[in-house]
Amino acid sequence: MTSISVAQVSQAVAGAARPSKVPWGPYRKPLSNSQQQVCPRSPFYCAQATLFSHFVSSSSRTNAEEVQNQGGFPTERDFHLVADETLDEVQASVDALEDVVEDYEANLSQGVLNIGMGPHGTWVLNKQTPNRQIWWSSPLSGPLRFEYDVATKMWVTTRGRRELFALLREEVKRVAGIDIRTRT
Amino acid sequence: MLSQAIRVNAAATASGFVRRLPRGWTGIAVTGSRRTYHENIVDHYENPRNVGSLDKTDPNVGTGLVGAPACGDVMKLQIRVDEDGKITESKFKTFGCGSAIASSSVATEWLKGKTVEECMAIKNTDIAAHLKLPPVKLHCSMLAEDAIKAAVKDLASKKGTEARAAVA
Repeated sequence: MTSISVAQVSQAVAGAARPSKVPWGPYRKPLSNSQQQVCPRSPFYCAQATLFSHFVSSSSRTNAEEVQNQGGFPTERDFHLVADETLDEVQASVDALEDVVEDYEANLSQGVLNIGMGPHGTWVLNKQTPNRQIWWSSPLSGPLRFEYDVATKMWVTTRGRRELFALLREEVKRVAGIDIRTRT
Repeated sequence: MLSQAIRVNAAATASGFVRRLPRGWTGIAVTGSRRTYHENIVDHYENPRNVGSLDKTDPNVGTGLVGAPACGDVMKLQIRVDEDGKITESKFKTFGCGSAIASSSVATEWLKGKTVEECMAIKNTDIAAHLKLPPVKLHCSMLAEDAIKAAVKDLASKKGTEARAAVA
């Protein structure tokens, strides 16, 4: 009795695992769509596909307007990752001014970076999440909007395509007279 | 005083803009808070000048609509010119922060009596300097400059269409 039930169970398991008609038989029935979808792929292939789609998703979009609205980011989370990293980098770059500029103060909180340069004024960089931009306010160049260029991985102004770190270096040079090191 | 400020928002809501209070909203009117605005901003915010609309189908009226509801700032600025190209009337409706309302209010004040060319000379820095806008609010004055330019451009395209129609 026990042996029969084991056989029944194993038969049931086998039946569940594959269709009753053997797929490699002479009269092979074409797999239905649902069966093709559950067909296992190698994990490597899946991982590769996911990574690949992550990087090319913006270029694979057919709707140009959508890219415009998304600012080149597939999701809002991608925007926050890149923008937060950028603001961190900006803060790290200007920290060298601590000993150079009187009353220097930099404070980054909740996506807003305030850089106080004492008598020279205050620079403010903030994430503008709805349109996936970084907004810049400077006593020298005024208000500017930066959008992310996916191809070069740089933040450039919406008007004139000026690069964020180049502008930062230029203005620090004018205000403090020193060259700061930045990534780009 | 406050009712006038509310009217601006009510007008914006009535015209279909999404109602959304921007961050830092409470900091504008509350005195003695950590952030205080210059009296010029508060004055224009509480007593906005030239709030309203002009007939946008009028060939002598230029309309500029800038900003995005998602970002919390939408600005509509209109100008009416006479035969000499001088601005006789200017109206605005702004949905946004106090600085954006004040910036567009100042802009409409300055536009009256000017020629279209003189209008294009108004810079965001002039508005920001007059209102003593804090650094983070410079963007609002830029929106006002953009609105002026958009209104002038709209008027120019109307005049261009008119001229072409006259030729044809």
